[in-house]
Amino acid sequence: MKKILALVLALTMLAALAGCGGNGNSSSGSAPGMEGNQEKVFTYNMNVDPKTFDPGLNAAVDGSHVINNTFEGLYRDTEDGLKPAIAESHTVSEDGTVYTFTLRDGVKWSDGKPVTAGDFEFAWKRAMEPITEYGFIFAPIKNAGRVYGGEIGTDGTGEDEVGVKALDEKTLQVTLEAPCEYFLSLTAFPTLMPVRSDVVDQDGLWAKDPAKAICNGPFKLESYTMNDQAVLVKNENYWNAANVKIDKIVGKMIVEASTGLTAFRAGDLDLIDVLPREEVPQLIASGELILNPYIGTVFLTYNLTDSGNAALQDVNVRKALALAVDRESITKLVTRSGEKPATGIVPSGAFFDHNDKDFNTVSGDYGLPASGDVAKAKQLLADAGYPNGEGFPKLELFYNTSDINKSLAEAIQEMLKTNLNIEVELRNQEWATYMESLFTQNYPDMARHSWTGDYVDPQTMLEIFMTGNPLSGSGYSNPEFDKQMQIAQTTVGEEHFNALYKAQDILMADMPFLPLYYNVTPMLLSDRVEGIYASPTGKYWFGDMDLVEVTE
Amino acid sequence: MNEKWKKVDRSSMPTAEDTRPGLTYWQDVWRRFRKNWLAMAGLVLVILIALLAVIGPMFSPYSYADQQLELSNLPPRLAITKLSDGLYAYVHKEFKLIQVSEDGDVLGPVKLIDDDLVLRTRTYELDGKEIKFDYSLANKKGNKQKFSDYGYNYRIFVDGKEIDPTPVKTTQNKTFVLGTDRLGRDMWTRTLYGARISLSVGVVAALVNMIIGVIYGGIAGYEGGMIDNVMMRIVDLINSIPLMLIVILLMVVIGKSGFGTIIVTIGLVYWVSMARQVRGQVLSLKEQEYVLAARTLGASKSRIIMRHLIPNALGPIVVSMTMSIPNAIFTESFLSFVGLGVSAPQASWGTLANDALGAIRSFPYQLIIPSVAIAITMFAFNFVGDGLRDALDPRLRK
Repeated sequence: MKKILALVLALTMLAALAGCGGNGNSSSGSAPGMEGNQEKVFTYNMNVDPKTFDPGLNAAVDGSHVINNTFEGLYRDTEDGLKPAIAESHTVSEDGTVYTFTLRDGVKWSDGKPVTAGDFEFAWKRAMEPITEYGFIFAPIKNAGRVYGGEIGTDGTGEDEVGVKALDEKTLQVTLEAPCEYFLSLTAFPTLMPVRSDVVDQDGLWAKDPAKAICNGPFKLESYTMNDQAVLVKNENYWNAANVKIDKIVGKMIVEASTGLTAFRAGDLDLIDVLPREEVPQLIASGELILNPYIGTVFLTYNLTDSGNAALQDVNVRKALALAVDRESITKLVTRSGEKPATGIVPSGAFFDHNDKDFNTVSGDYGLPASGDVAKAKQLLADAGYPNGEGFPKLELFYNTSDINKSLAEAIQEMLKTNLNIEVELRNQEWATYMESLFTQNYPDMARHSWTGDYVDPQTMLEIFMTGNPLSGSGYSNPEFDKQMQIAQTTVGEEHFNALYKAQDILMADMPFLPLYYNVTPMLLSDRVEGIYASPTGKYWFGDMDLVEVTE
Repeated sequence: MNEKWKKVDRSSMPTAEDTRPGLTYWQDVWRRFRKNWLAMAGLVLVILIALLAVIGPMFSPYSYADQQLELSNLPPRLAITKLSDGLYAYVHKEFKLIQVSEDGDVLGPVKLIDDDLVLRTRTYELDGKEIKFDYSLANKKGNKQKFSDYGYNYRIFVDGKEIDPTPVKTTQNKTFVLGTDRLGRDMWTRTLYGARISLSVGVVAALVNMIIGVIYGGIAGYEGGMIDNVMMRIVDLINSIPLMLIVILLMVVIGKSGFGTIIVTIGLVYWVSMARQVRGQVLSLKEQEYVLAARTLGASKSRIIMRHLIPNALGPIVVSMTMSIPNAIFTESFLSFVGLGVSAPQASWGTLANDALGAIRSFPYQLIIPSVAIAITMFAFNFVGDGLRDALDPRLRK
């Protein structure tokens, strides 16, 4: 009996061994055959778990990276400029207020249904509702501002009719309030990308569920794992699918910058754009780091609502704080990626006015020297009733968790302590929670904020400070400023820019934020990636990208 | 009468006390503890760390929060390059020059007059001399790493003449003994300050253990029955919730993370194992005759517990207390490391290690210093604990 048992056991083990060997052989045997049509997988670090992938609800750059590649608007922003995408062509009426778009033949959703002009009408009207954070972007469209302001609904008729209408399946007519220079570039913006009425829900949960996330871009969502990764695969129903060379995109959610760099060095990531600050100077020196032009500003915002700190409602205090921060040291010695010290909200080198002059240069530094002015700051603080910081309440500085933001916050903390004798406490939150806190002023004093422009006009930087726009993070409201912005929104050329200059003057006199620096996007890209495009508004476009064999 | 024998005076005879002086229990413990050199080394280290933590920061010219942004990431050992006679500089890993003395004193950043990012050259002015720092060789893009004739990926020109950048010597950084961190803060001061936080946490844990744990365990053990049952189930309950969860919940309740939260958490959790141990000891001790005697004489319950039972269980209590200190220190470091600890600019060893993580490739010393500090402290306390256990155990008596 024992012998039989031993025999059985021996045979089982032998079979198991043989099984292993067989598996090994078959996999190694099939590998060479695979090489010809190997799957092209591009992996990048999204740095965080984006709050949403819903075009209408997204307000963050990390979400835009995904949406820009899973959805497609009427036009698309590419390396060679604006190109027709879902729209084949468009006509503009003589007075420049009516745009008529004709959709391309055979454009389909990822489930095979055709993309219609009605989908655009639905998506736009949904996204301009007051509950969204980004509805203000529709401002050039007739009556959209009133919808966003909650005055009227999207179903109005006659005078209250919203200026977007699907004339038939293939024709979309858009009526503007007034001629608008940047409207066409807006049609490439994520918020203006179409969504399907039968899949969306109010909270945008559908967009993270692969079964429901029906899209019309070159890629579609295959899987999403919270705080781990999102996988996009090629959308075979995309109209230009033949020219999409990548099969799969994996977006990792690695928060720790040094972990990201390790993964990049190990070849697990093809692209990272958040780097440990300590490594940046050497990466710049070695030429590996690509610094992309970028229209974005990093600043601190104050809680100016009733729930905020009373001391910060005093404009002199805000000016004192702004003067006590040495931006030059911050950019040169703390962030160290080629950022420029900010003296306002509109970055330099990106926006030019009607005379082709740099908007930033013309508006000047508003008495905010890059390296600060401690004596004046002390004077202002004393004028506000806090000589040498005496009696000034302890401030809390909020930032979203990352090592760069921590260094930045610690540097500011120390500057305010040494220069103004103001105690600052630091507090951090994860990104998704942080955005919620920031946009609802759910923070006591100050919070780190960064704003990236959506189109190439200074208006994109200034309009977040209009009354009721949650994206300012501060709850700032000044009717004078709103008035100038409304003039700017409905005019072109000299009139437009004059209004913007005036608006910025009002804004800087009120100083509802503490400018820190104009951003750049550093990028480490593996050598095998070709044709990736990072727009100045900070969105990646993977549709023209290819992965090539690198020969040493 | 035999003259050879004589009666002696009893008082001149050696007594039992003279042959061998009596030892109290604690003297005996100390005698055995002293023989254990590992334990003694641990004790010396513990005292040394405590002294450094208390008085060390007073002797440092910097505070733990002082930032000198120009002098960030300076290592503890400086490789000194000679620029010209009497002029020395340290070539920072970030391709910039820091002026130092020949002996390793950091004199400050060299005045930068031009920074050309395209040609990758920085021009400095020092003592009337123009120093050009060319790091264009560091550019790796598109080709292999190149080196200058001297074997470096940068070149230094003093008044237009190239000099040999090979360090003339490597010496201890005299200004910042352990170097500086990413914001130019003195690592030595920050490490000592971190020791304060870590040791305070350890002391609090020990005190909480001592007070709550011992009394709680004593009552449960002595009372027995239903009371014991209920009390120990509460202990089980606390023990079953993970520490992390308690900290996060507390942070929500208190509203922020910080030293206070950590102290409260450790206070809430750390007495549990002590209570169990004391209860076990008391359960067996309370059956002893002297307890019966005390009860017969009418001693109160609290008197029996405090005067008779606890002193007899003191050995295991002391050992367990000593062992809980390194545990608490490690817990604090861990919590600070994952971001639930003290808030900046305060530094504990855990936050120091966490801050250094981003710089692990270029400036590993920033991570090594707090890690070594944690390791040494843990070792020291564990050795003391081990030594105490051996010394207190009568069965190991030789």
